[in-house]
Amino acid sequence: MTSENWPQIALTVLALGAVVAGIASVGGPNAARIEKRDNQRLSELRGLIWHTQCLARENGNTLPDMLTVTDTCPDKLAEDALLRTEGYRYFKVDETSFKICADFEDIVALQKRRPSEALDEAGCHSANL
Amino acid sequence: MSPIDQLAQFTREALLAGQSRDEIATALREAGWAETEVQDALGAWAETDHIPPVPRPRPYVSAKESFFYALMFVALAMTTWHIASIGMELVERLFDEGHAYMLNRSLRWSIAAIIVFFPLFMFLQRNEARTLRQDESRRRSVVRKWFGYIALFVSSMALLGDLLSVIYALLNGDLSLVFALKLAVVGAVAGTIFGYYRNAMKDAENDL
Repeated sequence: MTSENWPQIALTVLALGAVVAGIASVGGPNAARIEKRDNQRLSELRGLIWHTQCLARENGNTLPDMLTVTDTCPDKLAEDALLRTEGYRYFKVDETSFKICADFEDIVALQKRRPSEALDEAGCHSANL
Repeated sequence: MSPIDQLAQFTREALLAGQSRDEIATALREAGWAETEVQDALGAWAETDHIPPVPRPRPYVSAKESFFYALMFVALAMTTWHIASIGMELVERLFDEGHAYMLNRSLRWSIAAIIVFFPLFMFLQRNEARTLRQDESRRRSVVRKWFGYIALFVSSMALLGDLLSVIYALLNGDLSLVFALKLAVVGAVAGTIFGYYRNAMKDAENDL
């Protein structure tokens, strides 16, 4: 390294380091596709939570045994929703709380991205009435 | 004709008439021209007895070079901004447990920006170095000098802000590892730009 070109060398090291470390942190295109699908599943899961709460309100603040579609609480899932084909699991925890679970591809990464979501390692989102 | 043009014309005609530089300077001072204006007017002509007087090389402005140096400046700005952005985010991810993640797509955007703009900057920089080696007159480009000094100013401000933040955080008892590493990232990036343009501006003429 000469005294004249050290900034160019330093800039090259910084740029390459940022790109390599950045890709190592966020992953490549496949990781991005997984991220998008998991984000979509989480969004659909939230829709199902609102749907469950709607059904409970309709039922006099009683959790339903299973999720159905009614006039007051129409289907929240879009036609091309992932959970429509992949399925989901609904559990009553007690009289006022419940869980809806989905199969996420990278639940650890999703939990890191969305730390405020009540999402456990099994892919279950907890909610209350 | 502007007063400066009149001054330049008078100086040329006086030299052409064989008057000495001292005589011309005296006449100009007596007419009320400031010393710097007198020196500038005489400095535009080489100190030789050759008739007609020989003009000295002057700085110039070129639209083509404005495009070139603006592109180079933006490429460097985009590269360094996104290096700093990635660096700070990675510091938080690695060293700050309670850190709420920046969206991965923001990080991907920064990676994409570096992949586009860093090679562009290096290409333009090599192109500029080759052109300057082949044609010394390009060093007199006013646009080159302006962009260079603007970059020096911005990087100086970043370095001073960095230093100020270190001292303030230290005095305030807030100098954590994460904060120090973030400042190191900014310092490394700003220091690199400062070093680059300090070298580049060494040969910039200071006559404009």
